[in-house]
Amino acid sequence: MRYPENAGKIRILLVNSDELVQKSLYEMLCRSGYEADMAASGKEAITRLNEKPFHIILMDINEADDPKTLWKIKDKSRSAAVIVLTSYGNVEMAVESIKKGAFDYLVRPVQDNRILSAIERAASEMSANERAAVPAKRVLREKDKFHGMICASEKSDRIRSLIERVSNSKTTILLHGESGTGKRMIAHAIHKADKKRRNRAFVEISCGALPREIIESELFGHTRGAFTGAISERKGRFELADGGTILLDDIDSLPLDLQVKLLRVLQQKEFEKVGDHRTIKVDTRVITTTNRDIKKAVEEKQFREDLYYRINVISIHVPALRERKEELPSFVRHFVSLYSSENDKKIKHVDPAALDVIKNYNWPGNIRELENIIERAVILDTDGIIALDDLPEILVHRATTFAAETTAILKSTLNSLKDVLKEPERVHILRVLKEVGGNKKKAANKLGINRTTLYNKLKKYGLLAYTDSDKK
Amino acid sequence: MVKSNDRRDVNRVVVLNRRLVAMGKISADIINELYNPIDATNRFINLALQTVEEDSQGRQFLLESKSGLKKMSLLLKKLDSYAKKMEKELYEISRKRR
Repeated sequence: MRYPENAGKIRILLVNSDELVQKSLYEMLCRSGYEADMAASGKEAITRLNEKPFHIILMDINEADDPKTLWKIKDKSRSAAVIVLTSYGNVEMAVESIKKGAFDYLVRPVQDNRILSAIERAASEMSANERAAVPAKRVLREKDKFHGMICASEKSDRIRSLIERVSNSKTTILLHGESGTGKRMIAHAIHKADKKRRNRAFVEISCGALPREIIESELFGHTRGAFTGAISERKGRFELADGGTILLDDIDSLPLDLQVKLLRVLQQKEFEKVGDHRTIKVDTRVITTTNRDIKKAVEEKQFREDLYYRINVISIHVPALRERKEELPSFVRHFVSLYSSENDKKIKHVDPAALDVIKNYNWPGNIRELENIIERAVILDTDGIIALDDLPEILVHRATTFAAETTAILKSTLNSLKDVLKEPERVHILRVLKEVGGNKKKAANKLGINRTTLYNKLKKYGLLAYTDSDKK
Repeated sequence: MVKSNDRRDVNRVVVLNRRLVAMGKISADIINELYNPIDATNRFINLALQTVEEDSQGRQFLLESKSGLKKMSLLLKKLDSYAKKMEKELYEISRKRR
């Protein structure tokens, strides 16, 4: 196939709600040598444009609001040429789009060579400066992205494959993993991958963040006068998520009496508002998350066993960041790109030494901690390169001393047998501390000793600086 | 379109015309939805044609599928024109009534 001139440098965003059309256009453009990305709606297109710039936007226009969305897109990316695709009967809408600044319009069914020639025309009319304004190097390979999720390791690929298999079913999904591992992002990816629900509401509620009295009315809604302060009728999150997805964050914090009500929603898809006798039926996919061992909570009678089995139909374990360190460079690139555009900064690259420190750190706060540190680094940076001095001191200190300590100890000369025997214990404690990111409780569990014993040993070996309490 | 010169029948004719136009609108929506899979399938066939050998039976089958799709899309175009025509007539009827 002949590749059009400059094809490799041109980045195209496809905005189309029909997945089959998206995929066909994506394949065709990639085979023609273009870089393509997809957005299922105008809103998603704006999010994509916030992440990175595009040269050309190929947009499907069929709904009455689409020309307005086009205007917003055009406003977001002034240099991009927008080519509008429309159905045979919607030519008036296409004309309206041209008035709003579209480069051209094509009426479907359209021949592939007409699409390609419109793209070539748009690209050739683009000035060299406009082309250069969009960096040629992609921030992240598209195959590594899945509805906002970054999948650059075997573990994440397994999650992606599981999502693809379950997304179009009605089943309840339980996401469990440490805090900050991206459970919310995965829940959103499940919603976006669900053909039936992706265009409906995605409602989230944190069960741990709200007091018992409020959470019931938040989840199920209330009628006027149901309780003191209920001055008007209010819809609950379940009702708002009808047809879409509801994410119940920290499900283990849900009070036991509400667990019964939730069980009924999951089993019979119905509930009553607080203070109302009328039954409301909903069709909502429920995704729950937890960072606790929920089975243990069941054993301790803090969580209902029947509800546990109901929410645990499909269970996805989200690994901690330290268990998938191969993804660190992809995450770093993604956050650098995100925060550079948000803060209007031009970051050329991340210094290899800084990247090494990032790789050597154990990230007890997982992706959330990494994101905060990259945001901080981008804001503090002055020379366009994220270097060691842009990273927090604690991160640099921990990552380098952990590595140095373990090797230096082995190299040192120790004379007495007592000292020599102490060293393996010291090194082992240090290694375990590194594995658990400095968390004393986890380290004590892993070492099979209680926290007081561990504390005494840390004090004895002068390792207190490597624990959580040392943070900030 | 149903026509009548009898003033007493005007209301009945308007109702009938409106029903026909509503059908036209529904047809327009269905046509719009049908365009998507036709468009995508046609593109996938084009991509598949790039991978099959010349003079192969597979190629022949793909070309036959393409001509089938072409017939479908022509039919949709005709239906679409009709639906649009009905929509314009509704506009005329309501304008005259005012």
